[in-house]
Order: sequence, then C-alpha cells, then structure tokens
Amino acid sequence: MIRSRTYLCLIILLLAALAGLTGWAQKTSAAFLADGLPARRQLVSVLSLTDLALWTEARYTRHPSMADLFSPFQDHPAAFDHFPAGSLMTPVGPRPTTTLHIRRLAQP
Amino acid sequence: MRYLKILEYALASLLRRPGKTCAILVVYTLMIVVLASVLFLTQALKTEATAMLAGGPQLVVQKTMAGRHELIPVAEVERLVDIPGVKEVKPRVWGYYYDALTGTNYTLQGFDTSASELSLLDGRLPREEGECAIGAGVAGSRLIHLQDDLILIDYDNIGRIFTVTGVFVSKADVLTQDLVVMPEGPLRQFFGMPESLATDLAVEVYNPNEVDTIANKIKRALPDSRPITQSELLRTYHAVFDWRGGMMLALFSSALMAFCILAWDKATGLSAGERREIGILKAVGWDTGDVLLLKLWEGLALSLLAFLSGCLIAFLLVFWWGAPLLGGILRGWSVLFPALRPTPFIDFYQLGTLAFLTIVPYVASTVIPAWRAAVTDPDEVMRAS
Amino acid sequence: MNPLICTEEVCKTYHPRKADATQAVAGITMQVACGEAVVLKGPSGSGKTSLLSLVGCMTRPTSGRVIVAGEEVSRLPERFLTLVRRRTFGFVFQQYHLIPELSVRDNVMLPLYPERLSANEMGQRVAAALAEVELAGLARRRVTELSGGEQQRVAIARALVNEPRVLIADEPTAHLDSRLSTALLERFAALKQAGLTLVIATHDPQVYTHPLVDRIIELHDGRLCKEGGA
Repeated sequence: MIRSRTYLCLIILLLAALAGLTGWAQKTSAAFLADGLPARRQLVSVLSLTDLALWTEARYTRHPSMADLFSPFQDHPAAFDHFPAGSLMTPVGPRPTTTLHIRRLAQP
Repeated sequence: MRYLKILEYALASLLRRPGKTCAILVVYTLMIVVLASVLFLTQALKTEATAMLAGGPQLVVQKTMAGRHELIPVAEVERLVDIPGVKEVKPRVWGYYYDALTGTNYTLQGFDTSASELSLLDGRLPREEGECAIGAGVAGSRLIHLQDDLILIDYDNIGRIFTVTGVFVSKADVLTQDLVVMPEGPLRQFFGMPESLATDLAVEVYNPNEVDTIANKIKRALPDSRPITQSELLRTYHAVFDWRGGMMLALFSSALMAFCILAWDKATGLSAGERREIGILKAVGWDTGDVLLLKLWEGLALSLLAFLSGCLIAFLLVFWWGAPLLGGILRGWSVLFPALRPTPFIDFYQLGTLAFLTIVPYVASTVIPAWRAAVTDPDEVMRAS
Repeated sequence: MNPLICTEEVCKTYHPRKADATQAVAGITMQVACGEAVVLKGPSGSGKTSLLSLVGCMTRPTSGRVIVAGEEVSRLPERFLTLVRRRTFGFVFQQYHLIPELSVRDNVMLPLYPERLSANEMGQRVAAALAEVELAGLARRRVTELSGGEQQRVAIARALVNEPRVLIADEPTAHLDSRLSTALLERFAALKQAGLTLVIATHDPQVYTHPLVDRIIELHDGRLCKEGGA
C-alpha cells in the first residue's frame, strides 16, 4: 500500500503548502488593505489621481479612463487596442548617453 | 480501505506506463500553471487597481470639442455646484510633458497646497513656486534625488528649475512612477494655461449611489461635457486586464488544443489491452463499481496532482518571483514601467471554476470509455478482446 | 443431498437481436455435487466454455435457471452476482488471462482488492496460494518471464486465493506437455481431496480418463448428449 500512502502524503503536502500560501496571501492582502491601502488612497485623494502610471507612452494611455470617446476600452469595446497597452514585447529601451548634473552655485 | 486498495492498483497501473504518465502530468501541470498564473495576476492587478483608485474623484467632468478633450472653463464650477446632490467641485490642472533627454513622458500634476503631507513621500510636498515632488521613475531616469534640481522646458521654451522637495517611495510606483507634482499656480504658469481654464473638474457628491443621476444632470447642464464616473474609470482597468489576460490565453490556445486532443484520444475508446484488463478484473471478482472506481482514481490521481502542483507553482511564480515571464506579456510596457509587485488577492471562485473545468473533463475522459466494458459481462469482454 | 451447482434448461444465445446470433447452450440441465469432480467433454464449439461461464456466474443465461448453493443466481443484480462469483468460484482460463505487466504476486492478489481485507491479510492469502502451487520463490517475477506451466500455476493460485468452493478450469492442459499435464492433474486431485469441487471443460483424454474424475457430461452443439460416471 506504499504507493497509495505516498500519493496521499504528497497530496496532503501540496494541500498544506497551498493552505499555507493562501494563509500568507490572506495575511498579506489584509495587511495591504489595513496599512498600505489607506496611504495609497490618501495619495490618490490628495493628488486627485484617476489612473495608474502603467502605460505612459501614448497620449492617452497614462489615462486610459480619460481618453477620447473613440479610443479603445471606451464606448467601443471591440475596437482594436493601441500600443503600448496592447503590446506583447518590450522594445529595447532608450539608453541616453547624455546626462545633466546641476549644481547650484553658492549664494554670495 | 477498499478505496485505498483500488487507489494502490490505479497508481500501479499508471506507473506501468511511466513515460506516458509523466508526459501527461508535465503537460497538464504546465497548462494549469499558465491558466492559474493568468488568473492570479489578472485578479491581483484588478483588485489592487480598484482598491487604490476608489480613493480618487467620484466624478470627473471633461469638456470635449470636435470629439477631443479640451480645457474646461473654471466658471463651469458655479453651474455644477448648483446641481442638487453635488457636494464640491474642484478644478484639476494636469498635463503631460515629453522629456526628450530620456525619451519618457511625465505627468505633471497640480494639487492644492493646503493638503496634508503624504506618508508615501520621502521629504515633503512642494508648497512654493520652484518646488516639486517627483516619482521614483522620474528620479531614476534623471538621476536626481531630494534637494536636487529638475529642469523642465515650459510652454515658452524656457528652462525652469524646480527643487525636488520630495520623492515618492517605490511602494507607490504604480501610482506615481511618472509624476511631477507641484502647486497649481506654478503649473499653470509652466503650461501657459490661463487662470480661467482647467484640465477638467473633479466632482464630489453627497450620496455615492446617485453618481449616475448627477452625471446625467451634468450632461444636460453642459452638453459639450463628458462626465466620467468612478465606476467607468475602474471598468476601464478591468477591461484592460481582462483583455490582456484573454490575449495571453489566446496565445496559449495552441497548447490547450493539444491537451484537448490528448483527452479526446483517451475518450474515444479503450485499447484492446485496457479492455482485456477490465475483463480479467471482472472475471476475478471486481464488480462494475470497482472497475469504475479504478478508472476514476486513475483520472483523479493524475489531474489532482497536476492541478495542485500547477497552482502552487503559479502562486510562487506570480506572488514570490513577480511573474518573470508572464508579467511582461500581461502588463505591456512603457519606458518608466513600475516594478510589478502584485498583492495576493485570490478569487477562490475562479480557482474552483478552473479546477472544475480542468479536472472534470479529464476524469470523464478516463471513466467514460471504460463504462461500456465495465458494465458488460466479463465473459463477453474477454471474448471480444 | 442438495447439489452445489444446478442448471435447469439453461440456454445462452450470443448477440440475440443481431443477424449473427449464436445459440451456444441449448436447454442443458445438470447438477454438480459438493466435492465432486465433473468433466465437460466435447469437441470445439460444443458449448463447454459457455456452460462454464453460466455455471461460474460469468454471464447470465438467456433462459433457464442457474442455482448455486440453493440460491438462484441467474436473476441476481450484478453486484450480488459478482459477490457470488468471487466467493464461490475460482476460474482457470484456457488462455490464463494474466496481466502481463504485473508480477506473479500482483496477479494473484487481483481477486482480493474488492474484499474487506487489510494489506497484511492480503499478503498472507497470496503467500498461502503461491505456496499451494509451489511458486513462492517467483513471487516478484513478471509473469511474462515464466514458462507456460508456471503461468498456469499462477492462474491456479489466483483462482484459489479467495478460498473458493468450486474450481472451474477451461481446457487446463491445452498448452502443456504430458509431463506437465500429469503434474497438473495430481494437483487437482490434491485440491479435490481437500474438499474443493472441480468442474473442468476439456477434450483431452488424459484429463477425462484420470481417476480424479467422478462424472463426465458430454456436449454436442450446445446440447447435453450423454452423462455418466468416469
């Protein structure tokens, strides 16, 4: 009966691991809701933010919720999406070779 | 006890074909990993976005002209405040700035200087002209820190210097990565925006349940306006993440199809050897229930193991390792994309649905073909094989 | 004395509603007493295997009755029929019907899975059955590695592991040479001595002329044509 016992032990182990991770998830999400969320909501409220800073490259996609009516995800949900909210691959990012370091001169 | 003994036989039966069993287990587990990862990540992003942005304005009123967003006269505030149910109307001043040096877009946000300090800000909010607070992405791209200077080119092509009084912490990246925050007055000067205009108006209402009614009233009062409720705003993010999740699953559909073909192949009939084995089992005294239980265990043993392993791996990939492969595909990109650190919000209903839709068909494809042989007289089964 | 097994005008037709319907057994009435060794004799296609299947509750008769230990089993629900089959009969098939991927031990253990026995008890029963056929040393070998005679002994051990009252053997000497056939018949004689009832289907003279046989029932074209002492 060794196979069935080994299998059942494995299943119990997996269930225990999942239960543990679920417990961790509940705890973490509760901590986020209790501690992290109020601070973020305060930030959103004070700065009057309406969108996440996820897709900032196109005119509207920093604010997809604020976009023009004919933009994707607005009144025409079947419209093809627009980059970069719909992109699949990250392009090679810009690597600026010029940097500016500003030092204020001491006041006389 | 009988169940355990038949489980023992079922496992022995699976182990008699180790290659095939392993291949099915690996493919099945991978399939669950991808499906569960998409579910976990999408759910986490949606829940977090909804929770955070629920602190924002209940209603935003934009002006449109020729189908596009236009600056709205500040005078409209007076008309909106008179609408019953409206508690407060505040003009918002914000806009975009393209930084040619780093090839990135910043969002310049004005705010009311009477606001209290923020816990997610290192330093302090800017209160005077010539001060600003920036997101970590801006700081990183420009290589500047607290008390350094940020130079931006205004509408008149003049360089303006802003002292960085605060840098938003990386925990707030998803909201502030590209932000440059300054008092409203200096921001207007920077954009060259007259005092009589604002980007849009943020409206607070007394009763959140009446937001849609008030939005309709605003639309009647200002026909060229576009009121956007918070629910529409949040719906946009649900749509985006659902769309991207669906796109991922569409890409994955070829692997899913391969698995369905495998299950279909199993479901279309038993091999002669399998039929013969069932005949022998029936001949030596197994009844129909025992044989079906055996087949049920064969299907369940594999699918349960694959499902639990797949969910475990998906959980670790998404919430501990930040979804290294999937995250990039699921979230899109930008030059200043914030780091992905999803909070583990899990929807058990979705997981249950996933379990039902993956385990039940596989078990059915194992049990159903055996049904006919299991209910037939052992004499006939053995003659046929 | 009440017979252990009794058939009354039992018939069996395969594929009754199809064009290729075959009547394998046509109205046979016979009895087997407890502790008796009965041989079903007849050429190929005479219905011996079909009659064995009916007697051993492997299939239901198309008409007629089969009575085992005083109880009619022909109309029993499948679950109870299986229970009777498992506890009363041990089958030795002509082709042995062992599962080739399993070891000797695992093959012999098959009939014990549905029983309410612990793993230890199952092990003990298997050991006893293998000892009975002198195969204890080959318990872990795969059956495909064994000779024909050894495979048949495995089949016999499997038939005996549930401690049945009746041993049914279909053409037991079909794949054996005369030396092995003799050894097999001696084994059967020992089992009969221990109280087992034997029903053997064969057309091998070495079997039906053996002293262990009490009665011979001759079949032809699914009908009983002669019945008498050995």
